[in-house]
Amino acid sequence: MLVVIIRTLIIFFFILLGLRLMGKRQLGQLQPFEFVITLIVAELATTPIEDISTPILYGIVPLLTIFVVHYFLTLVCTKSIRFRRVMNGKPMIVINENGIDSEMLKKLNMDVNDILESLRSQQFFSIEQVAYAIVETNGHLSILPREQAPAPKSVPLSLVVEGKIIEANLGISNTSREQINQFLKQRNIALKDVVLMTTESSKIFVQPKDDKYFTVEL
Amino acid sequence: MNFRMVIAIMFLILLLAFGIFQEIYLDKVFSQFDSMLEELTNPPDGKYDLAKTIQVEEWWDKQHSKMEMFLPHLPLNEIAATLGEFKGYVKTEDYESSTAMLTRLMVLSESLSEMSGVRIGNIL
Repeated sequence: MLVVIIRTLIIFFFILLGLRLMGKRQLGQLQPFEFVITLIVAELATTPIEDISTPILYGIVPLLTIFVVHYFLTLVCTKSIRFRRVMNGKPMIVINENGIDSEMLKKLNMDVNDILESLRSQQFFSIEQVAYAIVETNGHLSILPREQAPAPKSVPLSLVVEGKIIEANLGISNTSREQINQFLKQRNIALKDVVLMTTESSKIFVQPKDDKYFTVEL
Repeated sequence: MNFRMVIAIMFLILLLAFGIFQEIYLDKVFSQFDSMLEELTNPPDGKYDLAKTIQVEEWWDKQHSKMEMFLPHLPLNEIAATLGEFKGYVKTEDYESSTAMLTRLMVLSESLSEMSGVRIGNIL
């Protein structure tokens, strides 16, 4: 048992040293390669602690190697924009003056619900309230609010998301499939081309694919 | 050059130096062990030399404690146990079993040496 305690202390010391070398960043601010490092470090630390038949160096050497690699990668990232892009990717604008950029979402492997969720977590309940939204390289969503945008009176309900009618919300919003189809037909929009359609009070928000969003007061 | 860079470069040098040292050290130990085992094989009258066997075992015990820092303990213990068995057979003059144990020791030494060396098979 004492061996395990001593090994744990040694590994703890080396991880602490490595993390100090990495600098101060919170988990949410980690770049993709830093996140990979965090996962590997957790795994590397446990093996030599648990298995006393493994030399402790089998834990320390990879830990130090990873921290050193991280240091030099970060250093090159600060010197070269191109390298930084390769390692971290680049920020992507997912909401612009036309509304949701569904092509950009595809590139990011995100869907409309992910964006709506991120917006809601930052107190934005409607796309109209947002002038620009940018997915940062660490996955954080940065938002530039639209000035004088009307705040929704209630939580907007999604009726159509990425060309699919959300059956669960039809009853809540007293809307039928036919009403949605008729609404879209009147405006020459195919259901499959609707990225997002929401309702809130008497207001309908529609985000067509490759077009600017619009709202209709009923 | 800031403090972090100094530490990072220091670690880098230490890691490389340690890796090279380990490679050379283990290679030297296993070469010596192999040649000691080689000396034991084919005794002139078909009888293994007990004194030499004990000498090899004592030498290995010394190396064992150092090598535990670099290699997994189980294969090292297996070599120690096989050496003990070999010595036991030599003591009881069971030379057929001794030969089998000696062959086993040679194979174990070779495989452990290969397991720790820089080879494409170990990297991939």
